[in-house]
Amino acid sequence: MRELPRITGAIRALSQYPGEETDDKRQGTQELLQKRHLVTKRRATEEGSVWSQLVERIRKEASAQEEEVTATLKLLTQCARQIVGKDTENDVVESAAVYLFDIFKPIDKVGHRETTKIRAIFGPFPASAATAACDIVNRIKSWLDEDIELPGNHKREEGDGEENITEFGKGIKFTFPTSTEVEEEESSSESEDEDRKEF
Amino acid sequence: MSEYLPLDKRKITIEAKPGGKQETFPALHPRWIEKIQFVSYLATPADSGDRGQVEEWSERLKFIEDDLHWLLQQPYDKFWCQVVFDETLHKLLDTYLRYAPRSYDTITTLPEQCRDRHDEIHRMVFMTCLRIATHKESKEHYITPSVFGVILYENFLFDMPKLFDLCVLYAPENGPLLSKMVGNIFTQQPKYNDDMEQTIHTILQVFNSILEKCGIKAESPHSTPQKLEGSDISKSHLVTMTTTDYQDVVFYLSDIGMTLSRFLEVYPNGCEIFHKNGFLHSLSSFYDLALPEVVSSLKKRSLEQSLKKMLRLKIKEAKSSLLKTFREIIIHCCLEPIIEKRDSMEHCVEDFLVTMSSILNDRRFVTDYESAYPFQDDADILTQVSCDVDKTRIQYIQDSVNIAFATYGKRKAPKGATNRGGRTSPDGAP
Repeated sequence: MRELPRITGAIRALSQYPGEETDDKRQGTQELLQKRHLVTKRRATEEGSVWSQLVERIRKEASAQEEEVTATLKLLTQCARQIVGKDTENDVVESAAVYLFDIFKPIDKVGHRETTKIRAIFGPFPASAATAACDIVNRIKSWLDEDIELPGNHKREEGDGEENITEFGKGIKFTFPTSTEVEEEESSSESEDEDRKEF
Repeated sequence: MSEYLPLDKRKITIEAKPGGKQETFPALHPRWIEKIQFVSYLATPADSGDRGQVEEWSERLKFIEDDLHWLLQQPYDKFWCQVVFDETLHKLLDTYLRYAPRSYDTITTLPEQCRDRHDEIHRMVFMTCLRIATHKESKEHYITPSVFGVILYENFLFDMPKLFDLCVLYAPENGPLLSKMVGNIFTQQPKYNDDMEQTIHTILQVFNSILEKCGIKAESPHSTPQKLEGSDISKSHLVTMTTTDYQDVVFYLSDIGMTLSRFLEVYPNGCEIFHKNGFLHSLSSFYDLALPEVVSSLKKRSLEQSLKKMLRLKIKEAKSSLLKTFREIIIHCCLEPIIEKRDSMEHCVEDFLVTMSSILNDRRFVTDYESAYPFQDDADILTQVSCDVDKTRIQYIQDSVNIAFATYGKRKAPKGATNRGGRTSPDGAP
């Protein structure tokens, strides 16, 4: 958009305050690319690490045979792959598997709430994959003690409206702006006398 | 003395790795920042119908929203490390304050699907600035006031353009909170007052550059601007320049007025610095030279009716806000001390009379000012105070105002009455 003339822009330019001029499109796009890369990398690192921890914990605590546990966890990642897409990288699939484990852990059957949440994150997905994933999670759950704590993606839960983190400013009253419109009425010196000569 | 150490004196010791030794760092240190890489804010897409542009802008807003939530959720020490040492955050705040649409930017339209997110960012930028301007968050979490002032100033966390931007973006709706916030910044770091003086000189330079663009020449950057010989030259500039340039002049005038009036409303103590630097006289001269020419050229330009109407409203906005700026300074520096009968009352009466006398030659300014803030009301205040007031001087000013009004003023259209005009000339002439 064309930059509107602003007095603060002029003050910055004339008084040598720090700060660059508007990013041009190329710089802006570059910045966005770097940010995307950083976010993806962080998510994959965090969630990939959570998946490894989850697998390790289940292997240690499960009352089932190791081969069965391995096969079941493999099935869960296959369901996750069906949901996120066949050509998706492994770290993203593992991150989806963590998410599915988290979301199906407290329930026995896939409901509307879960379907909506999964669709919001991964887009359209085959319902059979979600049903299968829910069954798998329940099978894994049956091998574990009820009170056992498993690593999971708690950040996502917070994002789904269950957060209890304090945020500065949440309790401070803030009023949003409304656009101002000046009434159309001529001010005093705008009359037909405007061009009258001084005497 | 508080049982808790201020953040600027706290240290954090890192546990030794096997075979290594313990290390201690200040709590306020770059090593504690997270690599967030805040993205900067860009102005709204030029074409809100371009899906690609809108989606990219929307993605940018999403990153900003998530990152600001993260920032505001950080505990006190982590928040401050990020604020002081993360340059990408500085850039985000700076770009938002610069490019976020103002409530009076009538031509800026936010894509509908982004409005809620934009609102949330608008709120969070304010909360971030509020948190930065607060040196004591609780008895446990605070920064030594003198150190706080240095941190703000040395790291350019606030500077004059940012303070102006904050006021223009948030003042109308969140005035009281903003007043406390800006007041605290000036209290903790008096150097901002010196910066304000410099800024006033820059604003005067801007006045002159606008006059030049309009074809009205100023003698020197710091003196009173003078009209060129033959007003046809100035008119031809404003009439012949491109529509975009003309629109820019009008928008610029409006932005200057809105920015200054909102800032002085939020921080009335700033009025003294503006007044001390002769701003009132420069403002009235500038207004007198520029505004009537801009109005007159609008009538002569052939523009679409809707554009013409919009520009007429913007000029009105410019006029009323510039007059309001003048009024804020007069009230704070002269009238309030007189009404409250402060010790400086006599000096303020004199100051008021000198100031008003000095602008009498700017007759079109005087006319508009009189229309908005009649001199008679102020004269009544003066005559009601106990000290001796030179009534001859008051009368002289009143007479000059009346002459200016008789020359350039207009009566408002009659409303319901059968006689001519709602408002008569101040001297009672028909």
